[in-house]
Amino acid sequence: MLELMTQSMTQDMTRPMEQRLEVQSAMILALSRVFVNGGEKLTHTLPLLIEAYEDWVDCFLVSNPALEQLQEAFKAHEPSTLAFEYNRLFIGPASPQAPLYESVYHSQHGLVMQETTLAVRELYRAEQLQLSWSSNEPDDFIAIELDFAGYLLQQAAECLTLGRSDRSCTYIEKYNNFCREHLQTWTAEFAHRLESSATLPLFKTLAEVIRQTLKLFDANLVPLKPLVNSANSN
Amino acid sequence: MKITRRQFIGSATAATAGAGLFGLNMLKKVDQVSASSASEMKTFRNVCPRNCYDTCAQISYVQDGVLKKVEGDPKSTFTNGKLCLKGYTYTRRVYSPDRIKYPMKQSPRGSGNWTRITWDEAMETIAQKILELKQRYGSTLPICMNKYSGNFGIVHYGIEGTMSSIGYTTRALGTPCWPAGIDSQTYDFGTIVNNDPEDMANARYIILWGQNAAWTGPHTLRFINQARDKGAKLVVIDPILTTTASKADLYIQIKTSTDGALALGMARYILDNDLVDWDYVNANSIGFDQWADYVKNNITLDWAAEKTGVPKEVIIQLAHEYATTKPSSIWVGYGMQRHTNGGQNVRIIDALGLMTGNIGKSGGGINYAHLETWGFNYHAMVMPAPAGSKGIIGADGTHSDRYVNINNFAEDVMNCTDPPVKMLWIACRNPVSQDPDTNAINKMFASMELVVTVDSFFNQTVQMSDIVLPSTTHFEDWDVMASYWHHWVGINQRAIEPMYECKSDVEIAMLLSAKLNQLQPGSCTYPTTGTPEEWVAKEFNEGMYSLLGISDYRELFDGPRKAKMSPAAWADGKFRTPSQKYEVYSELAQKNGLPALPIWVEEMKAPAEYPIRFLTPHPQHGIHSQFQNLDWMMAANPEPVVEIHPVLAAKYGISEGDQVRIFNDIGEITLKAHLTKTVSPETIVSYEAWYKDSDFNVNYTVKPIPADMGKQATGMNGIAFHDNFVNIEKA
Repeated sequence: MLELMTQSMTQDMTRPMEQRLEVQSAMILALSRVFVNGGEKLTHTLPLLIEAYEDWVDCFLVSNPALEQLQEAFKAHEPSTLAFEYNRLFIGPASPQAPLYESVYHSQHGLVMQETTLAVRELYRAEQLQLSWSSNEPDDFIAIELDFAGYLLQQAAECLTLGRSDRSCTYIEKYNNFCREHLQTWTAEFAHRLESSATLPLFKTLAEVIRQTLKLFDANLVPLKPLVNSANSN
Repeated sequence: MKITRRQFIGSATAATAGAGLFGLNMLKKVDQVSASSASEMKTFRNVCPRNCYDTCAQISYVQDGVLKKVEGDPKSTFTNGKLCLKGYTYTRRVYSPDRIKYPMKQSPRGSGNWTRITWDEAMETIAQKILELKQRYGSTLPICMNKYSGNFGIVHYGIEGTMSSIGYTTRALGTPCWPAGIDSQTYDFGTIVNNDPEDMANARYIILWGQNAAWTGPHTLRFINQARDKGAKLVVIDPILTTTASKADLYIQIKTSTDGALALGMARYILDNDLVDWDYVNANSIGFDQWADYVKNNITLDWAAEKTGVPKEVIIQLAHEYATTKPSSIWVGYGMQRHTNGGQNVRIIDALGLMTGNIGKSGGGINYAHLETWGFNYHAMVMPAPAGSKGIIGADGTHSDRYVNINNFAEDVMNCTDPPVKMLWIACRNPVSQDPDTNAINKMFASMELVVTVDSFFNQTVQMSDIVLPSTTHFEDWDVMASYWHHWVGINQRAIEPMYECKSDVEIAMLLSAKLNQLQPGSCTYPTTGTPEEWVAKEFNEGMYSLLGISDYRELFDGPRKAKMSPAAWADGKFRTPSQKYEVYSELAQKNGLPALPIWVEEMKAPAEYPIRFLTPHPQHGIHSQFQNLDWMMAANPEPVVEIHPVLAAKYGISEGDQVRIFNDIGEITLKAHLTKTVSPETIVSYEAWYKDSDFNVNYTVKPIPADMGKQATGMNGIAFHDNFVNIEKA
C-alpha cells in the first residue's frame, strides 16, 4: 500500500480514509477561518486552528509539530497586539508585508485580480460555487482558496461515505490539481515573507503551520489515489 | 489516545459544505452560476478625475468584472485615443495590493497600531464624536473639512455636502494651485477663459511661459506640434530647462519670479517700435494709456535684462517675434504665479496679449484656464443644515460656516478658539504631504480629538489619522468630469464593482447620515438613498445639456461631448469685468489693495542666511502625491533627489550622489544630490511627490507665505510655494 507520507510524516492508518480527508479539510478550513475573520478575531479563530492542528498532528503523526509553539505564541501577547501585527503583515492600511492574494506572487509586478484570480474563479464556477461575503475580495484571496480546497476534500469524504469511490477519486484529483496549480505555487513564498517580516512568534509559527499542513499536498500528492483505494478496502 | 475535536464531533457528515464547525467560510453553493458573459469584453466610458490639464476621456475594458486595460477615448479629439504614462498605470492603481481595503482605526494616532473595523463601527465612532462635539460646543464648528483636488468629479462635491448636512462646520477655503493667476485674469478679463487648446494648432508663434507641458499637459503638445509643422515657432520661458524646454526653438532661462519684468521689457519694445494693435486696444480696453505711460517712464530693456537675467537682444527678439507673428499664443503655467508677485506677473503677461491684439483670436490668447463647462447642479454638495444649527453669525443674523485658509491650514486651525477645531474630515487631499510647513501640520494634527481620512493609499495624512475609510477609484464609481483646460465633458461609468469594502464619498455620506439620524433623529440632512448613477444624473441641468448638445446624460455613454463654445476666448469682446472691457486699470484690484495697473512688483529676495531658492515643482511621474507610489513609477523613479547646478554644488563641496541637508529656520530635509545644468546656480530643485514607504516631503522648509492674489475669486490668496529659501550643506 502506498501511503501519503513525507520525510517527517506518516499517517494514523487506523482512521478511515474519509476521516483523514475530513481532518485535512478541517485543518484547511480552520486556516481559512483565520484569514476570513482577520486579526481582530484571532481569540476566536486561533483556538479552533490549534484544535484542528492538534487533530491533524494526531492523525498524520507529524514529528516535531509546531503545536506547542502555536499554543504558547497565542498566549504570549494581548489580543490587540496580535491584531496590530496581523494587520501590519496582511491587511494594511500601510503596504502589507505578506499580501493574501495568489496573483500578487505570480503577476509580473505583484498586482491583484490577474490571471490566477480568473483561473480560480473558473474552478469555483465549475463546482457551482461563488463568493458569498460582504467584502468584494479577489477570488484568489487565501481564505477563499483554502475554502475551495477544503470543499473539494469534503466532497471527496462525503462521496466515500456514500460509497461513491469513483466520484471521490475525481474530487481528490481536482483537489490535487488545485493545490498543484494554485495553493502550492505561492504559499511557500507567502510563508517565507511572513516568517521574515513577522515580529511576533505567533506569526512565525503560523508560517510554519502553513508550510507543514500544505506540504501534505506538495510534490507527494501522487500517492493519494492508492490511498483512496486503501480506504475503499477498509 | 486523547479525545480530539474530530472525535468529539464524531460524524463525517458534520463537516459538510456550509454546515458544521468547519463549514465553508466565503464560498457558497448555488444552483446556477452566471458565467455566460464571462469571456465577453465590455467597455465603459471613464474620465481621469485628477487635478490635471488633460482630464482624459478614457475607455475601460472589463472582462468578467476585471479591469483589463484603460485606453484614451478616440471620440475626444483632445485625448485622441492616448493617455499619459500616469493614465496607463491605472490598472495598477486599482489592483495594487497596497490599496486601503477596509475601514481601519489607529490607536493611538501615528502609532502604526491599526485595527480593522466595520463600516458600522466607523460610522458609529464618527457620528458619536460629531454629536458629542455638537453637544459640548453648541455647534458643529469644531468639525473641520479639508477637501480639494484628489478627485475633481462633480459628485465628489458630496464631501462638502457631507459637512453641510450636519450643520455649520469649519472649512478649508481656497486653493493651493492656481488662485493668484485666476485673480489676475479676473481683474483683467472678468474671469478665466482660455482658448480651446486644440485651437493652439492655429497659432503661428507659441510661448509656453512657465509651462512644462511634456510632464503636466502632454495632450496639448500634439496641437503645438501641428502648429510647428505649419511653421510656428515654440518658445519656452522657464527657470528650469525642462523636458518641454529641451524641445523648444528658443529656450529662455529666466530668473525665478521675474516674469513680469521680462513682459514689461517686451512691452517697452512693442511700444517703442509701434507694434501695438491700437484698434484692438482702443475698442476693447480701459486704462491702457496709463499703463503705456508707466512702461515708457519706468521700464528699460537694460533694466529688464538685468532683472531677468535674459540678454537684452533676446528680449528684443522675443518681443519683436511675439508682436509681429500673429496669431500668437501664450500658455501661462501655474508655477509662475506661486510667488508673492505671481498674480501681478500674470497681469503683465495678459497685457502683452492685449497690446498685440492676440486676445479673442483663434490661435492666440493668454491661456491660463477656464471653468466654463462646470455649470452643474452640485446636487451632492448643496445640502441644508439641520434645523436649529448654529454657526458663525453674520451681520444679517444668518448662520454660516467658518472658513480657514487652506494655504495656511495648520496655523489657521490652531488659531480657532471659539470654538476650537477638534475633528478633521479629510477627503481628496493629503495635507501632511502637500501643505506648507510640515512640522506645523504635524503639530496641528496632534491637537485633534479625531482625524478621519478617506483615501485609497497609506499616505502621510492617513499615517496621522485615527480612522481611515477606503475610497473607490473612479472605475468603481459614477461621476461626471469637466476640464479646466479643454472643452470636453464626459461621463464616468462604474466599470467594475468596488473592490474590498471601498465606498464612494457619497456612499459614505449616506451611511453617516443614516447613523447620525439613528443616534439623534434630525441631526443630518444628507439623503440616505439613491444609486450612484441616480446621484450623477441629478448633476445635469438644461444649461449643461444645451452646452453639450444633448438632452439626456445617457447620451454621454456614446462618448464625451465638446462644449459648444468659441475656440477663441473673448472672441465676442464681452469681457466680464465691471466695465465689460479688458481692464488694464482695475479698480477692483486697487480696492483689494493691489496695484490698479499691471506694474512691476519686486520679487521676494533671498535672505542672507538662506541664499538659495528651493523650487519644488510638479513631478513627471505623478500628480502631487498621487501615482508616484505605484510600481511602474517606483521602478522608473525609485527615489527623490535634489537637482543642483555643478557650480553651486562645488561651492558647497557636494558631488553627485552625496546626501545634502537642505534647511532653513522652520525645517529641513536630506536628499541625494543630482548635479545638472538644467537648473540655475541660484536655485535647487526637488519635485514634490509621495513615494511609497518613504517619509520624503518637500514642504518641511516651505513657509505659508501668501501669494499676492487669489482671494477675489477663490476666497483666499494662493501660496508662494516657490518663494522658498534655504541653505544647504553636505550631510
